[in-house]
Amino acid sequence: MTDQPTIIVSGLPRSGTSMMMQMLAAASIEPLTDNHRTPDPDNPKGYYEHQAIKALARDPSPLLNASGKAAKVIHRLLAHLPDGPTYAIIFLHRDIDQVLASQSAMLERLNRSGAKLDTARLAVLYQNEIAAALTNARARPNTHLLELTHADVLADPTNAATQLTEFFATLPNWPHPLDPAAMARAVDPKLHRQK
Amino acid sequence: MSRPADDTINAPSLRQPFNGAPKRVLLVGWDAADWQLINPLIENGEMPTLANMLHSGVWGNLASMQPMLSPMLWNSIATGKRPDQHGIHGFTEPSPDPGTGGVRLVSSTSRTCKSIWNILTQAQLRSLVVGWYASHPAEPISGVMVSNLFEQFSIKEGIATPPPASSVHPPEFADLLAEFRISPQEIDVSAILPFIPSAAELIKQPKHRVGALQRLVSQIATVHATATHLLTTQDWDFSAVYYEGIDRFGHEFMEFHPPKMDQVSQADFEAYQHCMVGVYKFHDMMLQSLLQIAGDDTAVVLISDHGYYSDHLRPDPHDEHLSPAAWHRPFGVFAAQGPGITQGARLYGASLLDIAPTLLQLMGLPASADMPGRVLSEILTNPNPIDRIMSWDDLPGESGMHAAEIRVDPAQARESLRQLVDLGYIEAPSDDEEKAARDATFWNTLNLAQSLYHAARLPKCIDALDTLDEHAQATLPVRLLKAACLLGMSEHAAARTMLEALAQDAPDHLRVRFMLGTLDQAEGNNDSALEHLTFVEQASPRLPGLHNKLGTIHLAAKRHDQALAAFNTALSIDADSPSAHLGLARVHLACNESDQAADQALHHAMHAVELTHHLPAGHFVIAKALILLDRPQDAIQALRVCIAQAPQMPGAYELLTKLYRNLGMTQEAIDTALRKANAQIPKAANEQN
Repeated sequence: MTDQPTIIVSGLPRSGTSMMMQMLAAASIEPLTDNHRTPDPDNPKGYYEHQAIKALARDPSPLLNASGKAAKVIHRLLAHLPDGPTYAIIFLHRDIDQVLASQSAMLERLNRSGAKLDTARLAVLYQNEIAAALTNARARPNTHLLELTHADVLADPTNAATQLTEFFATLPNWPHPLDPAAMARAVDPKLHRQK
Repeated sequence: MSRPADDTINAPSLRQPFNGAPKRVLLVGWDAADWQLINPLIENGEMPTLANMLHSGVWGNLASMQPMLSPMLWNSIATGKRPDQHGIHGFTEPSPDPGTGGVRLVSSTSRTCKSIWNILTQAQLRSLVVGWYASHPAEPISGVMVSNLFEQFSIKEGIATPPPASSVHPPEFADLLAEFRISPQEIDVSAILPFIPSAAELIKQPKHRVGALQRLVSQIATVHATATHLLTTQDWDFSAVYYEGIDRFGHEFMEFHPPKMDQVSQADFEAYQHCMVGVYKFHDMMLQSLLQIAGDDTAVVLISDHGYYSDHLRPDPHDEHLSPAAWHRPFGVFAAQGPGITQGARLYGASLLDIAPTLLQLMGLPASADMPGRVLSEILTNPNPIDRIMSWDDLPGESGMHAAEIRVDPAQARESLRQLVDLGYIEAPSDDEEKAARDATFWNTLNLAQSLYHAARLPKCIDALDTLDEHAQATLPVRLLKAACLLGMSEHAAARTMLEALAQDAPDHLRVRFMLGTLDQAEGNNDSALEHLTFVEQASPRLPGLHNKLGTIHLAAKRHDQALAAFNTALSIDADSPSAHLGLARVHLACNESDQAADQALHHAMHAVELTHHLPAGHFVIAKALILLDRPQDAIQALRVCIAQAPQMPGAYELLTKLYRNLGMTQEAIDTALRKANAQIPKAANEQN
C-alpha cells in the first residue's frame, strides 16, 4: 500500500478543487482532511482541506505519509511537495474572470481585503503562477499530471469521470479501478454560481 | 540617429563587423576598485599587470550613480539602463514564496529587460557569465552562466554541499564546476600571511579577523577558478566575470588601511594594515591569468561600479547608524585594451551607463535608443557608432531570458500571496516575515526613488514614493526625499510646507536645515539661507555639498572672496568634487573678464565635466569661458552638448543664438531660436534665466 501515489488536487482557489475532492471521495479515495474548515455558503459541500497543508512550505511532513489519499494543495504550494512520494496531480483550470469574481465574493463574506492589486494585474500574476506551477510539476520526477477544466467537468461530468478513471489506471500501484458513475454523480452544477 | 526595430529585423543581421574588431570581448568587474588606491600601487610596481594595461590601452574614471548599491549598479552596467528600467532595486526583495522568511536575495527573475548576454544570445553569440550580481537563478543563455549564489556552500562531515539549485546553466555543468569551489579551510597560512603577517599570533586571541579573511579569499578564488576553467574550456564570444572581493575586503578591512584612523586601535592597525594592498595585488595577479587566457585577439574591459574611500574621507567605522554605502566613492575605474581599442589614451566623462553601448559597439552590434548611455567612441579604433535600434527588448527572438511566467515583480507576487492567505488557503506569514517583506519593499522603493531623483526625474520620484503606504510615507527619509523633489521642481510653497513640518518634528536635523537654506536661497533670502547653512556648518563642517552651497550663496550675493574660499574648502574635503570645480569656474568668470580669469574658469569647468560628463551647467560655463577667450567655434560645440544634455535650459539656446548671429550664421541662429520656442521650457526656468 505504501507505494501508492499520493493524489494532489490543485489549482487556483475557487477553480473547482473542492468539487474534484468530492468526486474522488465518491470513488472511495480517502481525503486528507481534518474537517477544520466546515461547509459554508462558498462551499456548501465542504472544503476537504487539512490545516497543516497550508503550512507546507514550512513543514512538508503531512504529505510524507499520505500515500493513496487525496490532498488539496493550492497551486502556489505545489513547488513545496516533499521529495520522496510518487504524486498524481489533478490540476483544475477555470476561466480567470470567474475565479476572480468567486474569490472576490468569498473575500467579501470573510470580510478580508485580499491583494492590493487591480484585478487585471492579479489575473496576469495568477496565470504566470499557474504556468510556473505546471512547469515545475511536469519537470518533477515520479509525478503524473492530469489537467481538467472546471467548465468541462460541469458540462460533462461523465466524460470528466472517464478521464479520471483512465488517468488512475495509468498510475503505478493503484489498487482498484475508480467508479466513473459515482464520481459523475458527485458533481452538482447548481453550485456553479460565477459565470 | 536611430532606426525602428520591428518583427522583420533579426538580431544576427544587425551585426556589423569592422576592420580591426576584436575576436571576442572580456569584461572584468572589480567591485569598488578605486584609482585612489590603485595609482600608488602602480607607481610602486605592485600592480604590474594593470600598469601594463593602462600603458597599452585606455583608462579613466567611471562615474557611478546614486544610490551606490552594487546590485543596482552592476545591473545598470549589464543592461545599459537605469534601475527604473531594469527592475533591480536593492540587495533583497520580498520573497514570493511562502515560508522563506519573507525576503530573498535579489533575483535575476526580477530584471525586467535584456542584459548584454541576452542581446548576444539573440545575435547568436556565446557568452560566459560568472558571479554577476543578481544573476541567480542562472539564465538559459547561449553559453554558460554561473550565478552569484554558486559560491555559497559549506562542508558537512568533510563533504561539500552541492551547488544551489539553478545556480548553473546548463545544469549539467554544475557537478563539474562544483569541483572548482574553494573552501575557507583551503586558504592556508601561505595564502594568509601576505595579508596578515601576524596571523599565527592573532588566531590565539579570542577575537580576530583571520577567519573573515579566509572566507573572503576563498570566495574570490572560487570565482576565479570557475571563470578560468570556463574561459579555457569553452568557446565564447563574450565573457563577464565579476569579483566582489575588493568591496567586501573594503567593508572588513579599509578602516585599517594607512594612514591610521583615530577610531582604530594601534594593535588592529598593525595587524590588518596590509589587507587592502594585499587584495589589490591578488586581483592584479588574477588579471594577469585572465589576460593570458584571453589572448591578444580579445578586447578586455576592466571596470568597477564605484570607488571606495581610502583616505581622510573615510567615515567613522564605529558609527552604527551609517549605511555601508557611505564608504562608496562616486567614481569607479575603467581600463581597456586590445583590438578595437585605442592605445595610450585617457578617457574622460564616462559613466556606468556607457558600458553596455560600448561593449555592443565593440561586438559590432547597435546600442538601443532606450539605453541612456553613450558609446565611448573616443576610445574605439572604429569611432563611428552603429545606428541604434529602438529597443532590444522589443526585438522578438530567443534571448536566453527566463520564461515570462517566472519573471514577476516580487512585491506584486507577495500581494497575490496575501490574497491566498486571506482566502484561507495558505498559512498567514509570521509577523517577522511580514515585517521583513514590508521592509524590503520600503527600502527598494526608496532606492528606486533615489535613483529617479538623481536622474532628475523628479515627478517620477514622487510617484514612486506615493506608492508607499501611509506609515512609510510618514518616515523621515521619504519626507526628506519628497521635499528635495519639490525643491528641485521649484515648487517652493509646497517644499516650504513640507520642510517646516519636518523642522517642527526634527528642528536640528541637518538635512532639513540644509534644504531650508537651499529654499531660502532659491527665493532670494540669502541672509536666512546663510543662517541655516551656518548652523549646519557648525554641527558638521565636512558635510558633503555644504561648502558648495555656501559658495553658491556667496556668489549670488557677489561676495566673490567668500565664494572662492567656500569652494576651495569643498575641494580640500574632496578634490574630485565636480560641483566645487564648477563653482570655482563660476567665481572666476564672475570676478572679471580677463583672459587669466577665463583660463581659470575653463580649467575648473573642464575638470568638472571630466569627472561627470553629464553636467549641462559645466558645458555652459565652458562655453562662456571660451567666448571670453575668443574661441567661438569651440563655444558652439560646448553649447550643443549642453542643450543635448538639458534641452530645457533657456540660457544655452540664447547664448548659442547670439553666437551664431555674431558669426553671421543667420539660419543657424533662427533654427536655435525656434528650437528654444519648441523646447517646452518651464515658466520657472525662463524666469530664472
